[in-house]
Amino acid sequence: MESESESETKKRWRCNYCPLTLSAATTSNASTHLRNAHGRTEAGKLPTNQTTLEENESKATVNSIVLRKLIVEWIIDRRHSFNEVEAESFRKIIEYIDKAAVSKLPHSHNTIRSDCLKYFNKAKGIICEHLSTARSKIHLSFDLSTSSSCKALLAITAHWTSNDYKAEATLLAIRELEEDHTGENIAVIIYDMAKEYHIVEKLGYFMMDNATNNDKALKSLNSQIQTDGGVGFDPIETRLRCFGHIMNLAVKDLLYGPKKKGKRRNGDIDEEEFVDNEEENIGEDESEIKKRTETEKKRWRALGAVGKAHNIVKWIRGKPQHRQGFLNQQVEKLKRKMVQADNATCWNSTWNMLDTFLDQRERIELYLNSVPELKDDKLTNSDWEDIETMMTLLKPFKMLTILGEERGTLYGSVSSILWGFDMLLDLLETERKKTRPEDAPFQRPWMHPGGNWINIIRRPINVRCILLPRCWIHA
Amino acid sequence: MYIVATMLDPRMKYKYFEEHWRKDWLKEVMRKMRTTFNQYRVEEHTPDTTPISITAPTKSRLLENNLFDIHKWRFGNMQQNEDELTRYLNAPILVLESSDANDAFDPLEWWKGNAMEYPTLARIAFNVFSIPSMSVEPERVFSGYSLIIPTYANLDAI
Repeated sequence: MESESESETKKRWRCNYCPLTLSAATTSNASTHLRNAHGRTEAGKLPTNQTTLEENESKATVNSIVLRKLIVEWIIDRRHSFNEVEAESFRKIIEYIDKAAVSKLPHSHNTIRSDCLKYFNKAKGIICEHLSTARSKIHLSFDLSTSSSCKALLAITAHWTSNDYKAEATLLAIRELEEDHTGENIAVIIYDMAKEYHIVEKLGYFMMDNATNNDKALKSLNSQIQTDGGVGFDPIETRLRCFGHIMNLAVKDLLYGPKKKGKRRNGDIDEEEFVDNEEENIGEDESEIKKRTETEKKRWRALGAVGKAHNIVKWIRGKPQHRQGFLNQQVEKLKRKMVQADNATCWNSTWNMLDTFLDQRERIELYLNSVPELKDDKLTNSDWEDIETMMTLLKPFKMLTILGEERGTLYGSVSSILWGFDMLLDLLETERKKTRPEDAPFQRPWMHPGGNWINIIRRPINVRCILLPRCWIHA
Repeated sequence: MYIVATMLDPRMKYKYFEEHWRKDWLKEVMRKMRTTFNQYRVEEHTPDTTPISITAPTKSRLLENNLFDIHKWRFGNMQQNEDELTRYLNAPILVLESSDANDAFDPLEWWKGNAMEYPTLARIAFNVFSIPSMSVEPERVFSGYSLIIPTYANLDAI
C-alpha cells in the first residue's frame, strides 16, 4: 500500500495489487482490503506515516504505479494495442528483468484502457487549470482531416498566454465528425468541447484554413452561445486565415500559373487542381489507362520545367527497374540519391523534388539520354535555369514556413503575418522587374499557360484583401 | 488584428507601416489601432475585468491624509498629458543590433517588463502574441506528431 497524497486533506491508500484506493483516515481499511482481496497480511509492515512510507519505497524494486504509468506511456507513444500486456512474450521480458515485477503487470487490456482514461482525465483537469489562469483569451485552431480509415476527424488546439507570460499551445480534442462537414456540425463539436474545458466565455481568435465551412462554423458557434444566454463573439473579426495555406496557394500560382478563370471561386481556393488519378484507373482496360496517362503527362508537360520534372520522377519511381536504372548511372563524385516525388497537397514536396533535381542534375541528364520514353520530358538548359530561378524565388517562402512552424519562438505568432506578406510581395516584385523586359512576350515556359507575372503578383494581393476586409478598402 | 499585432511589436510599431505601406493606407492603420485600444479601455472600466494591479506599499498615515500632493510637485510639468497609445507610439522603437537578439526577442517578455508604463497596451499584447500564424498544430496531429506539451505528457507530473 502506498499513500497517494494529492492533497493533505484527502490522503488515500492506493493498493499495489489492484486499482482500488481507500480512505487513509485509518490504516485498518487498507489492511482489511489487503487481507481479504489479496490474501496478504501486511498489517505489521504498513506505514503509519510519511517517513516509513519513503523507507518502504526505497526498498521496493518495482513500484507498480510507476510501472503501470510507464506501460501506458509506451503503449500510447508507440500506438501499441492494449492487449500487448497480455502477450506471453512481453511478460517474459519483464520476468527476465525482475521476476517479482510480473505480478505487478496489468493482466488485461481492460486495465490499460481504464488506466488511459484515468490519466487522460487527470491531464484534462490540469489543462483546464492552465487555461483558467491564462493572461489572454483562449485562441483556437482547428482542422478537419480524413483519416486512413475514412473517418472525418476534427483536431482542436488551444493557444494562450500563460500566467507566467509564455505563449502556450496544446491539443484539446480530436473528435469524429459523423455527419456532413457543414459549419453547423463543426460548431456543435467546438461548443461541446469549449463547455468541457470551461472556455466558452474566454474564446479569443480562431486560426483556420480558407475553407468556407469554417466561416459558417464560427457564425453558428456564436449564435449557439448567444441562444444559451452567453455573450458570444464577433465571428468575422475573430476569424483568422492560416498563413501557411495562403503561402501554399501563392506558391502553386508561382509553380503552375494561376488557375483558369471561372474555376476559381472565393473561399474555394483549397481545392486541388492536380490530383493523381491512379485510383480512378481501376476497372479501365489497358488502352484507356494508357490514353489517360498520356493526357495526364501532356497536361503536366504544358506547365513547363516543373511539370516535366514531375513526369520524370513519376517514371523513375514508377517501377523498381526504372529506379535501379536511374541509380546505376555512374557519375563521379555524386552521391547515389533517389529523386523525391512531389504530391498535390503540399508544395514542400515540390521543393524537395526540385532540390534533388538540382543536386542530381548530372545523373538525371545521363538517364534522360538513355531512356527514349522520356524524350518529350527532356530538360533543356533553359528548363534547368527555370528550376534554379524557381528555387531562388521559393526560398523566402520556405524560410517563412519553417519559422512559422517552429515551436517555442514567436515567429509563429500572428505578428509575423503582415511583414511576412510584405516581404514576399516585395521580393516577387523585384524579381518581376528583373526578369521581365518591358512588354516583351513571356519567354519562360513556367509563366504559361494563361498566367503571367502580373497575375502571379496580383494573386497574393487578392489574398491580402480577403485577409483584411476592412483595412484594404483603399487597395 | 494583424495590424494591431504588428504595432505592438516594439521593434516595428507605426514606423513599419510608414516604411513599407502606401501613404493612403496609413490613416486606416491608425484608426484600427485606436479602435482596438479604446475597446480595451472601455473593458477596464467595467467591473468584470481586473486590470493589472499595481501593489503599492502601504502608505503611512501622514500620506494618506493627503496634506500635500507630492507627486504633483515632483512630476507635474514634466509629465505630458498624452494618452498611453500616443506615448507608446512616440517613444523610440526598440533596436536590437544582432540578428541573434532579434531571433530570440520575445514580445511577451518585453510587455511584461513594460506593463506598468503601458497597462492597457500590455493587456492587448498578452492577448495577441499567443495567436498562432498558421494552423499547423492541428495538422501535426494528423501527420503523427505528438502534440502534447511535455509537461502535460509526463505522467509523473500527474
